[in-house]
Amino acid sequence: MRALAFLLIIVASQGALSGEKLDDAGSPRSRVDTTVRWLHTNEGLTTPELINAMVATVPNLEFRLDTSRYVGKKARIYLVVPDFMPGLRSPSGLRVEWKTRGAFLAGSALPGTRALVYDGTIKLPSMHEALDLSIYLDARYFERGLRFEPRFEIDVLP
Amino acid sequence: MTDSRSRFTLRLMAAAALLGLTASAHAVTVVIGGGAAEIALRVGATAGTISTVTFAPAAATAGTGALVLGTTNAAAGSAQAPNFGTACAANNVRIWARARAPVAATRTATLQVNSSGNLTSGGNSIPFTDFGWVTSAGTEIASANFSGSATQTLMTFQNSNEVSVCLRFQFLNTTIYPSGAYTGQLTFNLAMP
Repeated sequence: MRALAFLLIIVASQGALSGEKLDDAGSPRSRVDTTVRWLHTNEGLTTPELINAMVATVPNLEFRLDTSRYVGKKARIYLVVPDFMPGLRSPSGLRVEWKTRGAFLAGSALPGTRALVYDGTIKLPSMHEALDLSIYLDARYFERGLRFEPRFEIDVLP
Repeated sequence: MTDSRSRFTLRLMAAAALLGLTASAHAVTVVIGGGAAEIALRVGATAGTISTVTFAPAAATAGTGALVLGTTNAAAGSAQAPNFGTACAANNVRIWARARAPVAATRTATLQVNSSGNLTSGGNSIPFTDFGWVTSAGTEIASANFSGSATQTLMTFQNSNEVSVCLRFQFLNTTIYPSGAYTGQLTFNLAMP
């Protein structure tokens, strides 16, 4: 009975996760610093959203993902934007867009969501991808020193 | 008893191994520093033009306290589209200010006017305390007179916001001055410490 309960806990833990995190420890840069600027500088700022719109860009942000465990398998890889991040007062205050320089898909995501960036067979033990990030912020909810930690998850397909 | 403990230990190890699959290292952090706060101010006409306000008191009513309304040159009260898309009434001066900074309502912008100087004509002078204004549009600046201070506060507002008012300047006409063409200049300062 105790063993059964234990197994149920393990199963529940696995079900709560959307996918397996991919190890990106081999990425060339572990920390990238950028600054935010006002998105609109003209005088036609008619709404709080426009007047508070800011953007930070990170060109050529490189990720090296350890996919060695999945070589030969069909899988989907997602870019995950965390729900919470230090320096962001509300999840509604951030949106991330990216363009890619390799095989990954361009896209966008909000905090607490993930977006598909790769769908296919994993061919290499390590996937190297570079993204051009645009991080859109609402100044009402932004505090300097915001720490954004994108991560990747993989779902192995049957 | 020993066997039971042993099995439980093994299960814990298995659980740790399973959880370990989803706890891979996280390596990339983007740290976003704060952008500069931004303030913008318009007093009178746009495009760097210095607006003028002219007063022409009549000799017959000089010093009587009969208010003398100022007249402005062109565009002193033009629209500030799109939020303030209607021009001020004739002979009004538009004052528009915008202050932006993260996080909402954490910083205060203050608009001050320096009226410590005088209007002069040769060796004669008229202090700015002999002038005031009536606010004809907008609520952020109340009708008042110049104090003669270098730091007279006209309004404050919190970030991020954009405000605008229309002011009609007037000469209080409570003192008789020697005739002449008197000129002087006011300076408005917007700050958001």
